[in-house]
Amino acid sequence: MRSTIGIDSLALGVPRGHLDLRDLAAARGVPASKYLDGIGTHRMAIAAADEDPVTLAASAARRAFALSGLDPKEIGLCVVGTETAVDHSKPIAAFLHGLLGLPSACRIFETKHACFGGTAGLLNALDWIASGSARGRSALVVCADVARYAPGSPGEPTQGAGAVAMIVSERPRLIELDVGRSGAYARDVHDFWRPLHSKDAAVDGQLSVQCYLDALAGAYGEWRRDEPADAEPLARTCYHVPYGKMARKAHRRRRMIDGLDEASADATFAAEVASSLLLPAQIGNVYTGSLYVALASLLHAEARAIEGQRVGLFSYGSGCVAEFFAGRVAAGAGELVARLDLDAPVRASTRLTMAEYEAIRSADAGADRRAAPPSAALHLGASEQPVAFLGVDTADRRIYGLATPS
Amino acid sequence: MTRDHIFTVLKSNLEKVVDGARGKEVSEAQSLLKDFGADSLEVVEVVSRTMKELKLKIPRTALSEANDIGQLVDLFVRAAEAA
Repeated sequence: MRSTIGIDSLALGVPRGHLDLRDLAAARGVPASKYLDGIGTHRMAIAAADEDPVTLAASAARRAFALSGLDPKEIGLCVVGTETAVDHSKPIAAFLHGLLGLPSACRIFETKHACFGGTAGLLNALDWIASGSARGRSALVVCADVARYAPGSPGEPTQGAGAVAMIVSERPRLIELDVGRSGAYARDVHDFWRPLHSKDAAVDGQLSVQCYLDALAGAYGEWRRDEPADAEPLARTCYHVPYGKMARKAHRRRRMIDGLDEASADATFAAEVASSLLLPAQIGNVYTGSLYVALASLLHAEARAIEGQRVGLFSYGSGCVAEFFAGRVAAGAGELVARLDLDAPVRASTRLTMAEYEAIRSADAGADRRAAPPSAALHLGASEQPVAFLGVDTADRRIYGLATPS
Repeated sequence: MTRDHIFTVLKSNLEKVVDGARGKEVSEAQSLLKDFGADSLEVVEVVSRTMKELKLKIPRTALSEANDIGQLVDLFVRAAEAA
């Protein structure tokens, strides 16, 4: 019998601080319900000057290793999906390789396709193992992003930041993924972009919503065509979550493709999707990580109850590409999830004041040119202590080191 | 298909989808986003319901060019003429 392949361990990394959307609503003069219920987000994680996709990725990956008992030496592939890279050439995976102490015999790279980058990494890791290239080793796939929109812009309440680290291996303890059974969809559109000169993304919101829904219909249709008539139905489905309400609409669309009318489609939301939106509502948009924060949320809430059941996953990246695929929650996943304590980083984050948030955002423009203290030197090798982005040296090299207690 | 008919269908979908539009006067000079507090998702839903009901298609990229309800109606009028 062919061995199963999938996600063996999963962990989140989030910034130290978050903005409560009630505070943002008050400052922007809009009713809080517009954000909390309208968008479906309660808090958004905000990365400070010493937090970036590298530090968030390192924090998530360390948790994934430490709590699952896996050794970084067993990794043969490390892929980081991001659309907020820290360098035009050097990938986050290279920084991670050093910070985590991954083996030198290791393929490492970064993937970009808007919010789809992490899924590209995950599905390639799956194929890498299925093809035999892994030779018994595991893959580390990390989705890491800082989602920023200009203060006062319509996108402002849909920011967020964080990372999701996933260890992909044979005989996974969390979720077994179907190899070679995904439905893909691609199309050249300009629904979301970030010009080379800008740290803030630009978005055509209405076009992006349409493209997301078209891509869902395309990818799900493709996936569904290969489903046997007597296939076991999907017990739960996780969607890419730029904000909660998008996932709600996506689910309605998908279940209407299944033949349900609008009311019946909506009636399945509470059981099939709601638990996957709890953590996203506490973190905000994590671009590449958003689908996997949703998966973490689902597992955190229900892993024990849905062991052995099928879960659908829909990933969308603007520009655009999408993929629908599925897996099965592994037997015993509930016990591991309890140990992984998936929401611990979220619980530990503190509420920023509007003034603190605005100070962080106004310092963003200079963040990549900030000089590292002359004494700062790159810290290499594994450590349990949090890593901070200390600034750049005189040759513009980014320096990461141990966060100094403030 | 008259302009009035298109406006009536659009208005009824606006009232169905967008909470902020219920029980309010709707005129062509108003904006879905600014005057009724609709978000991108709701605008897309109002338009796709209207397209379905009228059996018309308007190009997806054209939507962001419509600044008010009148311009949105124009898009449907053009689609009806081309059909």
